[in-house]
Amino acid sequence: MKKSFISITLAAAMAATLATGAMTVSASDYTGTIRWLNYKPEVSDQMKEVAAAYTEETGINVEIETAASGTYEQTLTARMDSSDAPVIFVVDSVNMLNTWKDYISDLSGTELYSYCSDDAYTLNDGNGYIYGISYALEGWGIIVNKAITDAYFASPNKSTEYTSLDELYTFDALKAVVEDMTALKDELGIQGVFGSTSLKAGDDWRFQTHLMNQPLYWEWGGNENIDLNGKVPDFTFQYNQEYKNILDLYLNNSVTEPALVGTKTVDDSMAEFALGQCAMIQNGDWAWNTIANTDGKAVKDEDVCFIPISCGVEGEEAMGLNVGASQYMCINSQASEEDQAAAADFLAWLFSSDTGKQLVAQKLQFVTPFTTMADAEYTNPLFASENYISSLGKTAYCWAANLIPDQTWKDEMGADLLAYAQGQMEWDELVETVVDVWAEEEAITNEG
Amino acid sequence: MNKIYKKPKYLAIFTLPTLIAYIIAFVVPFIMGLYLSFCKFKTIASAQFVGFSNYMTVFTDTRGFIRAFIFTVKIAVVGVVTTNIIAFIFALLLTRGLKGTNFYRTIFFMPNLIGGIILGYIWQLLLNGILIRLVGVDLTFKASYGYWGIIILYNWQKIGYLMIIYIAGIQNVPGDLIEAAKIDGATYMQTLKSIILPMVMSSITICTFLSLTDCFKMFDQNLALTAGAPRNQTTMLALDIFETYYNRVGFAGVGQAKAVIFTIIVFLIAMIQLRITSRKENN
Repeated sequence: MKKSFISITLAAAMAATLATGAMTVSASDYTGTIRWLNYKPEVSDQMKEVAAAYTEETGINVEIETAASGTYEQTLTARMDSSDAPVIFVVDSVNMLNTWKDYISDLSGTELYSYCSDDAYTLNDGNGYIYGISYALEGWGIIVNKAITDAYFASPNKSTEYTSLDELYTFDALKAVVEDMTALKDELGIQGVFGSTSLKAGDDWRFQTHLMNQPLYWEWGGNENIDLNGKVPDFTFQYNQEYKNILDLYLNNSVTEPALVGTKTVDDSMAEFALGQCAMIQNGDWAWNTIANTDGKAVKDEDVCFIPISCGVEGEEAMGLNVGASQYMCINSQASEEDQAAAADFLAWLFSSDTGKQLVAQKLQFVTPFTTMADAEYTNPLFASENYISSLGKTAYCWAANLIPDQTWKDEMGADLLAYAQGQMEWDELVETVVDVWAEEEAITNEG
Repeated sequence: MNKIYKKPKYLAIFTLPTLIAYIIAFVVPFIMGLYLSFCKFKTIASAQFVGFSNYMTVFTDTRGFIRAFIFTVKIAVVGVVTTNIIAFIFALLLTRGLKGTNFYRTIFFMPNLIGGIILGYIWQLLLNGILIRLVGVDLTFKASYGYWGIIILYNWQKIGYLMIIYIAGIQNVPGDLIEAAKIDGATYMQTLKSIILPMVMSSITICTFLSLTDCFKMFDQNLALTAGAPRNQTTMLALDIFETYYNRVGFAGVGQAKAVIFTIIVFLIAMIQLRITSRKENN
């Protein structure tokens, strides 16, 4: 018995050496550079660490270029025309996939795809052609500094009956608590309940994209009726009053006055949260890096958690966070065969080797759909909170916002929200405008 | 010496390097750009010919190009007049032999050395600071704030540069002419109107040309200061072209068409302006 165990181990070790040997041989032949056009500015430094680690292990040069927030597609357009076009790039939605289809090679034969636990985490054509594989299952909602809300729940001066975050799953409850917290903000030592509603152009995505997920989800009839791989549906902004509910709550109970939100960036808002100046902020689990790396961070890791966004729609107390796959990795089909093969090897390494997995979990903090990553350990407390909320039996909202026609609509929405916040635009006018622009952009997107 | 240049062989040798560079860096891209404006494309390699439809889109989209054009004209009219008048006044002051003239010339010229993006962000902070204190809102509140912001920024940046050109012009006015006028009893205003102004006409031509084309082509200041806020009402032509080309999926060809129209407009305006002022110069 013992003997056979040894021989099996030896055989396995030999096979492993052979496999690694084979890999290094093919790797050492490759003298090019693997270029990755990174989508996530918040992990640009960490991506460089990953590149350096791969170069150290294999001698292959990996170059990471990061597009500034909100400019990914324009950077990609410019880079694709250059002679050193990226080999690995990211597509964030079906709409973007349709634009770039000619530049995307089939990943179905790659090692990376064999790790992928479900086709739901890929962009595919339904016939086995895999365009992209998601590397980040992300969730968002309202991030809460529990230390501050607990102080509120324990306060003798509060005038609501709520005593725990678990009760804040309806808009009425959330509104009552938030407004009461605003009244007690000096006692709680905060400048506002919510971080600044950052509506500066380019920093408005938390509202023109993410917060739109709620009205879009309800208007289009929920998870069963929304086809995330389909065309852009019509949009009437049926739930605009509900959207306005939560937006007004953000604006009126914030660190920053509504008239000045045009000067605020997401970084400003996240800093307010990290420094303990506010108790809540709408953002996703990707924001953890920003919070953790803020100088003078006052919020404790164990105090950071999520509650869902509620806006006053019937039935939303059964709902949890907005969770979905976004940002699918693609390999540039116009790159040379060797470049493509090297890129596939690199991605396989990143999500299956010990070094790679360590980097993904600890540095990049991506929750991936890969079976190889099942045993990875994360430090991001928001992931634990996501698990907790789904353990309560709450349904996750799908990313309906992925079906927003294009950046033009988002920019219009963001600019109109700012005008509304400043009191320069009536809500009805905003609704009318964004519905009209949607119709125009929907036609353009669906036709293209 | 003269003869060497006239021989075709030498002519070719001397002009060829520049000509090649000019062809590579200007003529070829320009012709490619012209062709692309009739195409639908994502990257240059994948262009498909679509005829005039891009140009049709440009002129039917009232919220984009036409609005940007009107706004740019407004900036140009006020921007050209204010920068030139103020620069000329500074030039007059700094050619009168006052103490510290060189120091002031250097100081006034310096803003011109700073890049437009940085200037834009600095002025955004300054103007926002002032507006928030005085009115309680920021630059994104009203299009007119952004408009005057751009004018102030542009003046601050360009006055020093135009001033240097005017100073050179004024210094070229022969001293004996002014002396003769003085002896004849001309007042300073009369001297200015009848002697200095006509004598610096060539500087005025250059300065108006520079500031006019500058205003039409303004991009980085616009991007950094307002980025079009509020609601694209302060988007100038160059920024609108950039936004169309890069930020709107499937609109690269339209952006290209806008760029071609833009080139023609700037070319025409500059030509008309040169014609007018150089006619005055000859008089």
